[in-house]
Amino acid sequence: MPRLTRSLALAALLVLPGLAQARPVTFTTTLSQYGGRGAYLAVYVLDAQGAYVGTASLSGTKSKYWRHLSDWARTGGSILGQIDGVTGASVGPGQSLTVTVDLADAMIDAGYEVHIDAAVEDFRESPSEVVLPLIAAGASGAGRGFVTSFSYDM
Amino acid sequence: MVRRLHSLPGLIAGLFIAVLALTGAILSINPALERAVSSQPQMTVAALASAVADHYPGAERIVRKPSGQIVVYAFDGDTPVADSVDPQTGTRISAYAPSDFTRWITDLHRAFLLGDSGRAVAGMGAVVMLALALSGAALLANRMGGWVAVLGRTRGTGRQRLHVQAGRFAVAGLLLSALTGASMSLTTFGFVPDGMDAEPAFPTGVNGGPLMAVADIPILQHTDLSALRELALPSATDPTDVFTLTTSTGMGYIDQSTGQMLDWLGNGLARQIYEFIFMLHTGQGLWWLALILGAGALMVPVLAVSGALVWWARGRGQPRIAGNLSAQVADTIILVGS
Repeated sequence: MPRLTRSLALAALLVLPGLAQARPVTFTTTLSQYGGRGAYLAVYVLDAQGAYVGTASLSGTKSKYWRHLSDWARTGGSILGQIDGVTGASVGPGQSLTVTVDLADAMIDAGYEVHIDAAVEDFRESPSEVVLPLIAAGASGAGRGFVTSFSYDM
Repeated sequence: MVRRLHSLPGLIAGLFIAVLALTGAILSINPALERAVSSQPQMTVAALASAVADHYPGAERIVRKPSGQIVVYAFDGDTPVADSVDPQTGTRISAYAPSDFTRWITDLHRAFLLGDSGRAVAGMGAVVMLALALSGAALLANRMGGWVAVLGRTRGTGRQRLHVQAGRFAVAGLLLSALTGASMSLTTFGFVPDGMDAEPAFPTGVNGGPLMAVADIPILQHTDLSALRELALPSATDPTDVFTLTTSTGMGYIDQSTGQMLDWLGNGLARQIYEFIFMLHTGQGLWWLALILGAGALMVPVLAVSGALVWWARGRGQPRIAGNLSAQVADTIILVGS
């Protein structure tokens, strides 16, 4: 599937709960100088019960490594076959990744959480390296090694 | 004809292949080095996990490298740590950090430091190496007077003898390296399946009751350490989490309360083949093969230089005749005997 269609499908998916108003949300991730190869990253949304809602971005093109984004894979990112947000190549140390997706208003201030999983070859897997509540005011946080800052605003 | 098939690709791709071979030779030492510093105790995964749990309350993953080295990934408070540990006591030997030099050499070897386009070139390098090894073996047999005489005394100029002797020494290893390398490249680009995607579905029916001591879990008591690839430990804060056990034969989830295997998926044929080829190519888990392949790879620069010199000398050795034409278009063909 061409990348354009893919991101459209993703937008549709993330808007679905409520089928109502949506707003663009911009996620910004900056990686530390961890010294290894490019990191595989998944930015995804879970609902208040911890169930998978959708993927905002997936970095890293080789599908056989996606399972190392273990929380993302486990909650359903890969198992349900909903690989819907491939944004591009893996992200190198010190680099930043910025993605904008439309999120349904019903998901804001409603207990939803945005997670980022990271994994680097020869290094550790870091599921849910940062977890932020999805609130209108925006939020930011730092991770445990790979992610120096992860934030979003809308 | 075979000679041309041998010399032209060799001249064109010689430099690339020499880089592949030299970096491969450097990497080939690692399995033996790692093996030398790793103990290989006869013990079970349960004993290992129990020993590790004593020293690393925040452990999240225990990995057994093919060399037998045990690496524990853990959290010390909020700080991630990765330590190489003694399997029998669970005590820290040293911090585990992948070597920058090895990673750089690996990237040079598999991708010329150029990502996927470099990987494609390296894959083609393996195919050319395969053609060179096969055509070289045929030329060798022809030169020596058949396969039975292939180990006999070499004749010719010094550079020819050097080329023949180095080739004879290295050809089997180079064939294996090139064949496995080309096949791994096909896997990387998705032309051949490796079966690595397949994993059992995460179980939903987790008991969630009080935790069983890791030393008492039957499946871990019956799994030998040598079969272990990785044991991911359940999150301390999530009662519905599980042990994830990966061995040389498959992967499954273990209930942390009942100790029962909830879901197991054996390795499929594609994965078994891929892992076998990976082992043959890298020598990870077969350190002595790695050293043999590395020694063969060291001959590649010798072969490239001596081969180029032989080719150059042969070109110069041809008589130059003014107005000479090929036999098909010539009016007159002069046969000279001596």
